[in-house]
Amino acid sequence: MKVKVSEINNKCDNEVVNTDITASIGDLLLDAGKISPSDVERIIAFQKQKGVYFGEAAKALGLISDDDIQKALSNQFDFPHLMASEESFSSELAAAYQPNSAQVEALRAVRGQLMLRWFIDVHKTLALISPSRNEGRSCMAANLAIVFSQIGERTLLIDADLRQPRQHALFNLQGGYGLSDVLAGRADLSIATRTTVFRDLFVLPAGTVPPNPGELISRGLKNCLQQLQIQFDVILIDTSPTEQGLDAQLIASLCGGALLVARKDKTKLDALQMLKETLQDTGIQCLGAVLTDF
Amino acid sequence: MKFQQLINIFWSRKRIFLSVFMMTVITTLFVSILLPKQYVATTSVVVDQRNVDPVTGLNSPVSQLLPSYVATQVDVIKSHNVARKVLEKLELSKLKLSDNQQMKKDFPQLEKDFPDLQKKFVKAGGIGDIRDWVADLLLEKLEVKPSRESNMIQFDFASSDPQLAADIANAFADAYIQTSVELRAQPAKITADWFDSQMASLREYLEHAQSVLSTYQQQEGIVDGSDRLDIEKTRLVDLSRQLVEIQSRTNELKSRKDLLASILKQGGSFESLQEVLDSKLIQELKTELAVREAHFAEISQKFKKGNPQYNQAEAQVTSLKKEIQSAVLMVLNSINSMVTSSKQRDDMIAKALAEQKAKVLDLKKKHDQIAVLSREVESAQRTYDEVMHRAIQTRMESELSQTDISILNSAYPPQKAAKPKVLLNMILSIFLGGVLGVGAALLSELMDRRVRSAFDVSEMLGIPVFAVVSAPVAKENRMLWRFNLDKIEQRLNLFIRRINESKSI
Repeated sequence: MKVKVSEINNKCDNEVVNTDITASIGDLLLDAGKISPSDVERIIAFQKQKGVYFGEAAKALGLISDDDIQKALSNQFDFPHLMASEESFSSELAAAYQPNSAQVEALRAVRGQLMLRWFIDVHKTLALISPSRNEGRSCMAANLAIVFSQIGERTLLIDADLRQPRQHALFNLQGGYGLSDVLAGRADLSIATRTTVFRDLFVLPAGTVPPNPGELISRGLKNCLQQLQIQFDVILIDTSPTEQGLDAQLIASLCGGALLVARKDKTKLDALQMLKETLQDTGIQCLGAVLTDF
Repeated sequence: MKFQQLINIFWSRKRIFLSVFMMTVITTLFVSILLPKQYVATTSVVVDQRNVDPVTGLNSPVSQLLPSYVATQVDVIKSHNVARKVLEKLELSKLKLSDNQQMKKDFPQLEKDFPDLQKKFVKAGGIGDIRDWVADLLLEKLEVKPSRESNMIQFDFASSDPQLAADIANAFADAYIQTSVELRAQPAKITADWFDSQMASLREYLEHAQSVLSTYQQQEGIVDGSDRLDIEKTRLVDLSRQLVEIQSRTNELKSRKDLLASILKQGGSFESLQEVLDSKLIQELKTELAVREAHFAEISQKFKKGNPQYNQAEAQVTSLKKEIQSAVLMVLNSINSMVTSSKQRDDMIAKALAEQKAKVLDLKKKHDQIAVLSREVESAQRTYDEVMHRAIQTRMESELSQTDISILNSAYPPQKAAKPKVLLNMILSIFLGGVLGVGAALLSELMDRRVRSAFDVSEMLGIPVFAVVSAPVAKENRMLWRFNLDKIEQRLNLFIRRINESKSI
C-alpha cells in the first residue's frame, strides 16, 4: 500500500490511492504476502470444516497474526491506520496506531462536536490554543487531524508554532520547508505534504524556526489561509502557547474560533480563564475545551 | 465544590498529603523513641469518712461530702508546702547553691531527672532558695488524680529512675498526710492559745466579782441567805398586829373616857359604869353599904337622931358612902391612867413599827444588792467553766496527730516505662498527620488551582468540554475513579462467578 512521496507532492487535487474495496481478506493477505496460495487452500478446507471466517481459520492454523487480520480488515473497510510495528510516525499519534482505544473514541467525540458546532457552515479553520507548553496541544491537533481525515474530510494540519514546532517530528517529516518559509516568501503552499498512510490528511510543518515568529504570522498568514480554504474542508492550526506571545491569539482571530486545550492536573485554572476572557474580549469564539490526560 | 472535585484534588495532591503525613508520623516515631524513658510510680490514699470527732466523740458534720473537699485535698497535695516536706524526707534539705559539679556528686538521684540543676537554676534567675525551685520542679512531675465517685486520691510521679519515682511518690503521700495533720491542728492550736488568753481575763473577772460580793457581805454583816430578813419580816408583822390591837383598845378606852367625861359633865352617877360594876372593892363596899344602910334603917327606927347608936350607924353609912365615892373616883382615875398608858404604848409600838419597817426595807435593799453581785459571780463562773471546757478540748485537738487520710497502696518501682507511649503517640500522629496532610493538600490547591476535571472547566469558564482525552496506555493511576470502580466491579463479578462455579462443582 506504499504510495510514493513524489506522487503526493504534486497538487492534491483528485488523486486517489487505489484501494480495491471489494477485495476479500484472502486476496488482501495474499497481496500483502502474508500467506502463499497453498496456504489459502488449507485455510479454506479448515474454514469448511469448522464453519468460521477466513481470517479466523488462518489465525487458527497459525499462519497469520491478529495484527495481519486487523490490517487487512481496515483496508477492506477503507479505514487506514498503522500497526505498532510500523514505526513511521511518532507513537503519540494514537489515532494512527490504536484506532479502537478509549482515547481515540474521545477524539471522535470531539470531532463530532466540532462538525456540529463549527465546520457546519462557512468555517473551515480552527486554532488549537493552550496557555502554556506541554499541555498536549500539538498531539491533540495531530490526532484530531487524523480522525477528521478518516471520515473523508480533506484535512490540513498547519504547524503555526514557529517557536518550538513539533508536527514534523510527529509525522516524521524530516527537514524541508514549512510555514515560516511560505510566509517569508521562500516557498509556496504546495509544500503541504500528504501523509503516507492517511489519504485525506495533509500536513504543513513549521519549517525553519524564524527569529521573528510574531511578525511573520501577522504578515502573511491571512492570505495563506484564504488560499488554503479553497482546497481543504478542515484546516487545523497548531499554535504556540499564549504565554509566549500573541501569535496564537492572532491566528485564532484569523480563524474566528478557537479550541482550548488544557492538561488535566497541570493547567492552571486562572490562566485558562484569563485566556478565555481575552479571546472573548477580542471577539474570538471559544468553541469549547478539550482536556488531555496523558 | 463537589465531592468528585474534592476526590480529584486529593488524588492529585496525594504527594503533598503523603509527605506531610509521613513527616508527621515519622517525626512522632523518632521523638517517641528518642525521648528518655519515664517510669511512673503510683501511690493511692483513701480519705476515710469517720464523722466522729476523735476528741469530743461527737458526730461532726461530714465535710467530706462537700464537693469541694476532694478538690481542696488535691490543691493541698500540689502545694509548695508539701513539696518542701518531700525534699526534707528525701534528705535533700541540704541542697544549697554550690558548684554545678559538686551538686552532681552530692545528689546523683536528682541528676537523672534534672540534669545540670545548678546551671538551670542560675539561668532561671537564681533568686531565692534553690530548694523552693526544686520543690516546684518536683510538683511539675507529679500528677494527682482524684477518683470521681470515691474518696480515693492517686499520686503519679514520673521519673527516669523507677526506684526514685516510687520513693518520691511515697514521700509525697507521707508529706501530704503530715501536712493535713498540721492543717487540722494549726487552727485548733491557735484557738487553744486564744482560749488560754481569754481564760486569764475571765478568771480575773470572776475573782473580782467574788471579792466584791464577800466584801459587801462583810460590810453589811449579812451572812448568807434570807433568814434574817424573814425574822425581821415576822417581827414587822407582829408589831403591826400589836399596833392594831393596841390602837383598838386605846380607842375603846378613849370612848369610855369620853363617856365618863360626859357623865361627869351631866352629873350623872357612875354606878352604871361597867368598871364600877366590875370593881370588887366597890361591890364589897356596896354590899357593906347595903348592910350598914339596913342596919342604919333599923337603928333609925329604934333610935332617934342624936342617939349614939344612930349617930354611929349614920357615921358608918356616910363613911362607907365616902369610901364608895372615893373608890369610884379611883376607878375613874384608873381609867384615865389606863387611857394615857395605852396611848403611850400606842405611840411606842407605832414608833417601833416604823423603825422595823425601815429596817426591813434596808435589809431588803442589801439583799437585792447581794443577789445582783452573786448573780454576777455565777455568770462569770459559768462563762469561765464553758471556756475552760472548750480550751481543754481545743488543746487536745491541737495535739491530735491522726487524720482521716490513710495510705491504701504504697508506690513500688514500676517494671515498665510508662512514657513515652509509642503506640498512642503513633495513633495520635496518624490522626494529626491525616488532618495536617488534608490541610496542606487543600491549602496548596487553594494557592494554585489546576484543572482537575471537565466540570472545573465548564463551571469556571462556562464553555463546553468536548472530551477528556486520556492516556492511550491505560495508566491506572491516571484513570478516573469511575474506571477504577468499574474494574473493581468486574473483578468482584469474576470472583463471585468463580465461587459459584466452585460451589456447583
